[in-house]
Amino acid sequence: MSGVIDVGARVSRKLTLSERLYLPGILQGMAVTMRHFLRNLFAIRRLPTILYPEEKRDYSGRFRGKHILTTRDDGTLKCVACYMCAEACPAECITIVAGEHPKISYEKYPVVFDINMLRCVYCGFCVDACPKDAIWMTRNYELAFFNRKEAIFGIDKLVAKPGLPVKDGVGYRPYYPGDGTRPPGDSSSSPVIPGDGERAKLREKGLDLHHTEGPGPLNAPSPAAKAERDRKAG
Amino acid sequence: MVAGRENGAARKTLLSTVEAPPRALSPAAERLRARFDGSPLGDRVEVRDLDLPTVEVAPDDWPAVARFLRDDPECRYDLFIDLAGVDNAKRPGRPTRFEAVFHLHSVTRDEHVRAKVLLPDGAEPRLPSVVEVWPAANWFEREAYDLFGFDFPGHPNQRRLLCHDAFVGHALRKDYSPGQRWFFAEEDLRMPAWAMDTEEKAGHFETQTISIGPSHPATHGIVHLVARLNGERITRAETQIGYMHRCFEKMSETHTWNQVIPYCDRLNYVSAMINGVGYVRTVEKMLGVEIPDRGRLARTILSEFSRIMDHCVNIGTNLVDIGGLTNFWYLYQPRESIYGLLEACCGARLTVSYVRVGGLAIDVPEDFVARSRALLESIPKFVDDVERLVTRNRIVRNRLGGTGVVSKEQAIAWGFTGPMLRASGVAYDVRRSRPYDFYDRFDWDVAMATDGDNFARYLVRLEEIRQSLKIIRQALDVFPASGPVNSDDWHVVLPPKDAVYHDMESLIFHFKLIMEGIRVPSGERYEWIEGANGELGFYAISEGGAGPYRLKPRPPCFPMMAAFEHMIVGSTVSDAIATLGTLNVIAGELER
Amino acid sequence: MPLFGKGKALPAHDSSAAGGPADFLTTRLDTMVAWARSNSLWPLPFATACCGIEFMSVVSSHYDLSRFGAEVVRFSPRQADLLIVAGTVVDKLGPTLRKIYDQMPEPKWVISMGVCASSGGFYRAYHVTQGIDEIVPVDVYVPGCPPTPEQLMYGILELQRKIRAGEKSRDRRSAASGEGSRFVWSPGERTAPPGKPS
Repeated sequence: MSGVIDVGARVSRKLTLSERLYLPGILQGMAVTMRHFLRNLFAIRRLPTILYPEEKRDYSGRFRGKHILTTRDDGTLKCVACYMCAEACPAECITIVAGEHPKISYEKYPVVFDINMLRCVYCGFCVDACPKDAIWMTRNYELAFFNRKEAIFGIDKLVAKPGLPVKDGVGYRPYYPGDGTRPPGDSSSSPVIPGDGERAKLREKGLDLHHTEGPGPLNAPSPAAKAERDRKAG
Repeated sequence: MVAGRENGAARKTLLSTVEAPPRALSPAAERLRARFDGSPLGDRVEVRDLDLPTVEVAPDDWPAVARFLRDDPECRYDLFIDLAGVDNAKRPGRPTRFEAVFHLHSVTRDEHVRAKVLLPDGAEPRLPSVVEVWPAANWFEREAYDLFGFDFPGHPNQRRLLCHDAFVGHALRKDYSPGQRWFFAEEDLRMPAWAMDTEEKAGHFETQTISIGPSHPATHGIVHLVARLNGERITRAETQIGYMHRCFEKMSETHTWNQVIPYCDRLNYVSAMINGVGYVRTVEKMLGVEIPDRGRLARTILSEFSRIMDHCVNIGTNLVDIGGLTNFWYLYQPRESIYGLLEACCGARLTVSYVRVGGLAIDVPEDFVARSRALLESIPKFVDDVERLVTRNRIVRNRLGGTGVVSKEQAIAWGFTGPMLRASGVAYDVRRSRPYDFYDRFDWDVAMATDGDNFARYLVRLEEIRQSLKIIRQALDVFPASGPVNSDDWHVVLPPKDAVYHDMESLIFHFKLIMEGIRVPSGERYEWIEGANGELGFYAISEGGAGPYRLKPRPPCFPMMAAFEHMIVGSTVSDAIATLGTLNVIAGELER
Repeated sequence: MPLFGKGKALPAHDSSAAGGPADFLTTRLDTMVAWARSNSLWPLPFATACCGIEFMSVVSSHYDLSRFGAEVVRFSPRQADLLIVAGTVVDKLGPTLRKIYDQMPEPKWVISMGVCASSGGFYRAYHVTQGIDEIVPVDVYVPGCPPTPEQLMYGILELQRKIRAGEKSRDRRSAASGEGSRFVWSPGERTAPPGKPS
């Protein structure tokens, strides 16, 4: 019945005689605590205590810990310094300085990418905002600093070195394998979208604009250059 | 300029030069209009139909209108909900620079109303105090003085409430820079005038005035209670707050709509999910966006778990204050297990930031239902243990029973909502009175009591834990196994990452949402839900910008804390501490 | 330069000073004392906000700070040696925090728990202290909003390492610059004389 319960009326205000004598009540209470105590004493394995640092709590694969900057297959950062994470961050803790990448299909790269770990509120908005799958969060929370300067993590502290495991595993990230979304390919996230005219010009040159493996379409050598290279190689 | 009227009679337009669209008023607004027409105040007010019936009035007429709203048998708006100051400096087309927006509730008619007092330009904003009409208005008016500079002639104690005493200026005015701080030293702290009176009176040979807090184990969150004691009895008290004023409202004006969500988590941080749900519901109503059922049910389930967490902390810390430490350890176990669920959903235990405008940040995990059901099995054991230790315990009865008594009339006059109001005999629960997110489809009961003392509040909260478990069980039974949790309107919700990586149109929507923010149409809205402490409302004003123009959260524990100094007069210090525990004062929400 | 009060800088523990057998004894004694101190820290949880709730989790049965000897939580500064500032500190609370710190007897250490206490966090606002190192010297900054209980424990373990390495608290200013804060405020100066409108 959906209604209203008067809990005050349900519990009688008058205590019984045994309750008014303190001792029975105390013994009853101690029965409860003794039960917990003996259970803990004789079934230590079932204690809820997590003995950090020897044991660690198994956080989920969505945990929002320290950030990492992901890399492409060739080792460059996926980040193209678009400033979306810096815009999305409520704490304004991300500082980016963009630079021009010599490789046209990558176009820009972050010369400086600093996250101030003592301003970051670990909300994950930067991960949500990134269009390049470039910033993830991990399950690493073991950070403590002795001064504020060392809390500003640059690219060297943030980059996930390719081939090396991420400390404690990855956490909050834009897609999870098996949930129906597709990860971005390296060059499918091409930052340069040519207009129609340019597209036509590239098509004339015989470049394939939609392949997803290998170097980007604007970096594949033209047939003439390829022929020249083969000739020089003998 | 006459606003549209359907009866054709020429009526003096008072203050608003904003054209109201000529349409029929809603039944509630029509009723209100009719009541005013039948009274001498008929031509002093303007009744508008916004999201709530709104009464616009000039400052001089405000006390009479306030009394009418409270006392008229067809109105009976006796529960003071909120006072929000608004600075229209950057809002074109408004008649005056400052507005004082009051929200009121009628307990008998179960309705809200809004009253706007338009403060004329050209002088310091001033409107008479309505503390005589609603005692709850006391601290709300002090806050409006502190943050906006409104002057309330007739207010008994017009001092700064939230900002410190060396603060210069009024922080929420639009010409106040968000980062401008002022240096505050110890000698700048001003104590209440009566506390500095050190003359000993005859018969009060043990009188002393002490400060309980601001750093004190029992003042959870930072509360500074200045108390005059006669031996052990408190003869006069005044609470000074502001030790956790983190400028939420100013921060919401400098951030986008979605960026406010992490700030909302830190309002009532023991049940962080509920604040986020309340806030995004307000924005979604302004946008007219519908959330799929799965998203709404996920929000309901996690909100109810958060409510359980909040009550666990409150009961646990209340009992710690009166000496029963064991229950705190027992009640922290359900919290830890719920943390595990929240962390599996969104990656963070406490400050979840899980909601977004238009749904949730990320879909619930696959084992969501299984984990929640496991929690439903494990939580009652701890709650039962605590009940066995506490409910029939004579010491607890003596400490909590009969102390901190608040009668029904007092509770309404002081603006109580939530478990405190329900323990005093008024069964007002927003989930029952204005159901949202499927609460009307589930079979659950509102817990209430009539005694109004601390023990009744403990019982009400304990029962609410059980009712929340009941709601969750029913929600899990109907939880869809698959489906979207977000609206599919990409003007509001970020497109799925798959599309962003591979599709140009999605990338453009993504870019615009991040760089420009959600564009909420101009307007204002007050939406309220049942927080763990009481009615948690958000009054939002949008001017079409990237973020809110004004966002005022209505903190449930604010009126309760304001009434605290009256509740404890005549009681001993230990009873005052027991009472403070039952108020469930969360400093993040109290002082925003 | 100390902001309030009359803090004196303590003589540095000079572990490089070579000496004879007496020095061997004193270094061994110092090590033992440091070991004992690090394993019996009595925290004063200056809990203001959400980090206070996570601190409560740390002392609860799931994580249990008492395994590191820090069970005895004392709310009186006279009886505590580790000040854990957990949560945002606002300008109104600054003098109170300093007073609590000054009332603690030496040796004492300060952990700034959470980003709000360390730097103001995302509250770049008119009433929030942008880091408690404007007011008290900090030994360990623990990031997180709030830090998970393990993160705080990691911070306490780092502090224990610091204590065992011979550091005692100093009245030095921590480096508060270089993180791009929009607000620049010199401690000790009023931004405007009180009483004048902004």
